[in-house]
Amino acid sequence: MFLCLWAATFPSRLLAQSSFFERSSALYSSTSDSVRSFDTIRLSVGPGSILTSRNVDGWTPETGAGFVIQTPIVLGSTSLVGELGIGALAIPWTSKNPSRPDFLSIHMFIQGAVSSPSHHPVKLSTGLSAGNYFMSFSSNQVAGERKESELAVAVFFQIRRTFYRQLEGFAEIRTTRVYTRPKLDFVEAKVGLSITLNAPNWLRTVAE
Amino acid sequence: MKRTIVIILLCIAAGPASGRQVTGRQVTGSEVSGSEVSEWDRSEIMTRGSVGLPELLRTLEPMRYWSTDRFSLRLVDSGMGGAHARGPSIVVDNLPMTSPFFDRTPYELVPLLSSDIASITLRSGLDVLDNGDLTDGIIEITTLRPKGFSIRGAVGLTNETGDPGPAIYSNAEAKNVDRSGPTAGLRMSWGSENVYVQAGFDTDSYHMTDERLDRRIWRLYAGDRKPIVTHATPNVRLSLLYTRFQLEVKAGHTIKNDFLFEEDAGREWPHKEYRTWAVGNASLGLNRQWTLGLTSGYTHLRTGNLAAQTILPGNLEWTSAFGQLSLGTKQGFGAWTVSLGGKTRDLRQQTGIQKELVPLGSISNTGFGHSKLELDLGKRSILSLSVGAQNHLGSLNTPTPWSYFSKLALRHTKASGGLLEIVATLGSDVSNDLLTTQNLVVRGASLGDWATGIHPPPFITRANTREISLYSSSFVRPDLLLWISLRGRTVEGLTAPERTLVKDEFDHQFLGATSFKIGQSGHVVSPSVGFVLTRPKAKMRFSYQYSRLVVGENLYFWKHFVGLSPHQLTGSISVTPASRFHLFVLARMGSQTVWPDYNSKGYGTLPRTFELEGTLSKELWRDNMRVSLSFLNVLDTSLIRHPAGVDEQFAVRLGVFVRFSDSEASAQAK
Repeated sequence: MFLCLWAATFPSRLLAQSSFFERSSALYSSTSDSVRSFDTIRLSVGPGSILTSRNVDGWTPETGAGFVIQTPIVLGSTSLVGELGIGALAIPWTSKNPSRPDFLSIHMFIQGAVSSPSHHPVKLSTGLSAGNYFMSFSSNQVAGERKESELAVAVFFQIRRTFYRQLEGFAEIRTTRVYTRPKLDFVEAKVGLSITLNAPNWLRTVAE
Repeated sequence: MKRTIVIILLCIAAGPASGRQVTGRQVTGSEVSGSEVSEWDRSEIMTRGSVGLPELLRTLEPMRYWSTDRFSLRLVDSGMGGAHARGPSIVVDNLPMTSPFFDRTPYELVPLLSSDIASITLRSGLDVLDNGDLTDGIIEITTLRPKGFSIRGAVGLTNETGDPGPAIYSNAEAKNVDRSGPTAGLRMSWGSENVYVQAGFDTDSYHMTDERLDRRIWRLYAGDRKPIVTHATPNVRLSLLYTRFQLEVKAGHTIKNDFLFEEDAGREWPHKEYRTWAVGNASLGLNRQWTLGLTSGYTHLRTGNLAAQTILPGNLEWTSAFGQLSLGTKQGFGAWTVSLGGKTRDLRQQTGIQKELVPLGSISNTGFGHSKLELDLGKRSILSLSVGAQNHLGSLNTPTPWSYFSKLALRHTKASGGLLEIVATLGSDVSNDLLTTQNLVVRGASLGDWATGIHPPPFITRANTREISLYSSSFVRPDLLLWISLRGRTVEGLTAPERTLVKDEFDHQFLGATSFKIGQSGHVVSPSVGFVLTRPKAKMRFSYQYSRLVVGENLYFWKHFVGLSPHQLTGSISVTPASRFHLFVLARMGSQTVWPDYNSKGYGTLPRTFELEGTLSKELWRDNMRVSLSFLNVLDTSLIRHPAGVDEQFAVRLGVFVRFSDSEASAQAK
């Protein structure tokens, strides 16, 4: 109950902290010259799904959800803003064959990206991610091995637009290769909202 | 075209174009010198993301290596000793730290993490160690000695791709493949200006699950869990550093579960090893010119077998100790050192059901002496002459118990900072390593059914090796060092194995017979060329090596020396694009290789290789922590380095390093 209340009132409490917004927006919406590494974090959440897949013919992907947490990193004297982040995307897969189990895939990754430093509310970013593609098979349907995991790398493109201070909407396409044998290839799509916050002091302490 | 190449090479050898003096160079990156082609400092070492020592040595650009299981590496230095060479020895803080075991040198047992290392220097070519052994190259490592109380550690995990994923429900044969780790180490130390004490623990493990060797091992191994190579090594270090007296002592104990692939047997040996070792060096300044030194070491090794479906070699017990006393002086003319030492070895075996260990032959004693004279020829030139001899006192089945070593080197530092070095070496070596299948059979050891059909030579001849090398480096720009090396080696009297190994298609074992041919001769020539580019935030290394065998009709010599790519191209770049963020990329191309022993069904011809790896690393927590992520064989090309070896696939390695020190100022060992 308290959690629901806290979540429901979170945006209004956030908007009330005007000084917080001024600082954050100054850091993130201006050119890279004013960006300091690890000063802010951007939290993105939204639903995602698989547009196309290869070598997973016996299963149908359903709609899942994911999140990414990113922080800026200054790339020398370049005008681009670098970003480091971690994230995950969970997708349930339904088996087409009753003899094979359904499974839930959780793609956990770290990523690096470069983002346009535009003053314009629309920003483009692209990057690479690497992580683990974890698959948990339903033990109710078959006996035997229930978990599999393998390295996955991805290339992604994202477009996002600021529509209210630190709130942005984004759309993302991610082409992922999972290095199983045979290799799995996906095109993942995700849309959602992101919010930029001041980074906690401990993050700067650890990261710097 | 050829003329152009010759002109370019002559320009490099002669020095900077037009005799231009490149003095007053302003390189704001790491300090550069003419010899840095074979030197790696700490910043370069740490960008490679390796946790364990073999993984680090593998990335040294001139290094050549092969492996049957991806993790236990057989370094062969510059390749002049052929694919079956014992490889370079590792000397850490002036102490010899490696001892051969069967046909390889177990580098992974040197208890060092990458983060322990201050610098590495690779000295290619024949040389002699403090224990009297002839070695084909020396890897000199200097370690850190943090001041105050310090706790440091590192852990590395490698995951090779190729697990089945959803295919596990459609392919009954599908199974998980190799992974490695944890490769880990922990150090606790206290140090001051004069005293340093350290306690450490090192461990490593890797799975033998690649399908190319998995079936072979399970055909032999009868354990109830999957084959995993593991080792654990608690170790200690004491270092005293006073003006007149210096002492360095290292000791440790290792327990290892191993699946060592032995070429004469054509398969792995599932066994345990228990090693206890200590090595130390003390030097005392008698006055301002004269220094007295003592180096000594002790190794005790015991083996035991793991469960197997065949009769394995009886348990072995090996004891070795050496001592060397040296007297050195520094005078106006240069420096001179003379050393005398001795070594004793004892090898015993447990055979059948008897518990007693039976001596294999008599105790083997060796006496050796060595002298080195360095003459200063002006401000920038040094002429050095080393001579040595050793006698194996009634230890071997050989009519030639004496072996010799001599090395003449002229080293001239150019005014530009480049280097010119000419070295001529003569080394003779009686195959005196008792822990080889060949010498074990000679001494009547029981190898069970594990290695059959080994017919040792009636006696062992002395192998004489002559080597000449020319190295020249020049700065063509303040930040660009070009270098060229020309090396030639002649070997006479080599005892070479003659193997016919046929692969069994069912269990992947390479069974056959091995005999040995004495007195084989041949020549190896190897030119190489490259450059080192040092910028404030980047360093790039590039090299090309060509090696050619000149053997005439001597098929045995050729068979013993091939196995390494005749053409090898290596390039690397280390970049720091942002504060405390580093990127390292290494690319290596090797031409087709031939392993004639395995060629009866065409398995002995391995295609050319191209491997690309990259590492991202970030220092965190005010430099108390470092995280690195490495991508190995990024292109996922087929990498088979030995006919019986694994097919290395794309892999990812995570390394985490932490340290908590009173003072970050690290005094380096002498």
